Amino acid sequence: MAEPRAKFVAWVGAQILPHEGDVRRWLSRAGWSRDEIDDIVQDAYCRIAALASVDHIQNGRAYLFQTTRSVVTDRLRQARVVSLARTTELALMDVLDHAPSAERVVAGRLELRRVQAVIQALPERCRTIFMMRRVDGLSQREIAQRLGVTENVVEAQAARGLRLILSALTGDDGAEEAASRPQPDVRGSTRKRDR
Amino acid sequence: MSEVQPAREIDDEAALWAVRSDARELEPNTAAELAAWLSGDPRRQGAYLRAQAALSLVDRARALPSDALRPEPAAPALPRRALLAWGIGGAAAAMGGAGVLLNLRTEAFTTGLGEIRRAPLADGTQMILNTDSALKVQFTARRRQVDVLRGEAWFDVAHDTQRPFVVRAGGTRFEAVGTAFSVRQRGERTDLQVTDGMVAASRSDSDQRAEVPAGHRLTIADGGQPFVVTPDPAAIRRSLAWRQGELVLDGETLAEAAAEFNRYNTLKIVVEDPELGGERLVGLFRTGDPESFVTSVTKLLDAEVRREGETLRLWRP
Repeated sequence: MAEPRAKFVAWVGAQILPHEGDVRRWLSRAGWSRDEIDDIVQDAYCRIAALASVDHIQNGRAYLFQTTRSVVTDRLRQARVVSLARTTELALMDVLDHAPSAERVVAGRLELRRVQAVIQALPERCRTIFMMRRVDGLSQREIAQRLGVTENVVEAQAARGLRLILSALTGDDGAEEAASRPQPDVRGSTRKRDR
Repeated sequence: MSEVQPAREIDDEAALWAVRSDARELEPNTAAELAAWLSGDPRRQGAYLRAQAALSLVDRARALPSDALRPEPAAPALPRRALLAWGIGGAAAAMGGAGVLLNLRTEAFTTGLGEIRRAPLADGTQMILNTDSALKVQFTARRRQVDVLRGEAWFDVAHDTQRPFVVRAGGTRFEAVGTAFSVRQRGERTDLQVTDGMVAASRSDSDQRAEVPAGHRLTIADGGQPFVVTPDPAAIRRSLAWRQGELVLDGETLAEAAAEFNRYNTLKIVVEDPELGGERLVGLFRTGDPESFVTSVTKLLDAEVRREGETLRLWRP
């Protein structure tokens, strides 16, 4: 990764991601369905990804809440029938994103411990591959050779591990279902992987 | 193919791309595929960023000693006040394993507008940052030093005769051994409020010194002024209510109360009429809820309120 991008990504990891769980819980209380929440959260990240710089943002938690609120507001404007509960919750959000949160305080170190715990709890094959890759720094090819599997398998297992970690950190439950979904092939079905 | 790709499917693909682009420098044609995938749907940019951010967290977690892995404290279903207390316990537990590392480095603490943050330090000292503050904490084997660069913080200092606890703000030095006090820094002005024990204040640019006991405050308007120590235990208790997210008014004017609320919120209260602004108030409010306060004021003082964007304008008809 290029340096500015790496910095940006690390900032999102430290300042935004740890608060996604709270945002999802808030949306759920406000009556949004699971699929709607996935869409709203994705929209929020999409807006954050479009930022030219994050230097002006002092409080990542408040920023994520603000961004989510603006995504929700746009959705409510488009909807014909607006639920009262949803608009009320929207008003309450002002209080929420400024409220001192236990999670806000322990984010950081505790968050990293959670990440460690989640890695420990990954399914065994997935964890072996994830550890070899992230901790031992082995290349995908080396891992594939050691385990006697194809690089595709290594990549898919690492991606699955990452999905499980994201789920555990943010409370999105996509990863549990990912196991039952066919593996995505983002290269399109006509291409074989290059080596 | 469905017309709109479900969010989860995008997340699955984003995870795959994140591990793939992390594994090695992408070959040109693979990089082109990534670019094509990203441009295929604007939502993919966000999902990719999110997946990469999680990987960056994994790499930071790797740097922690793995034997420090502890179970998380269970989140009790308690009211907010109790939850705040739990915040201390949880963070303290989380700090436990990495204390040695923390002792040797400088840590920066900041809060945004309206944010109140509990930050227990590695030595057991409790620190609470008020709204819009910036502090630097440095612990060595010989001393514990905190610089208040901006804003306000309250300290309940852990007893350690070997390592004095020193807070510096605006050129004044406050030294404590096992005591509780707050320091506020704004412009040239520094305020010290002692809630427990004794704090020794001194200047680096003069030989002024003062010992400030519990229930007393020291206000330094600017460096050249002599130290003035005044007793005011009730007012100190009141003015430290911010630690619970509360604002206690006991005879302050509406103008003063509005200025206090404005420290915490982007929604600003403006009182144009000086006579109205001079009215004195008594009450307990949440710092993050200026609207409730303004509603009470309109009822109490026969005033009216008009909201203009991020401003609540109060006047008397």
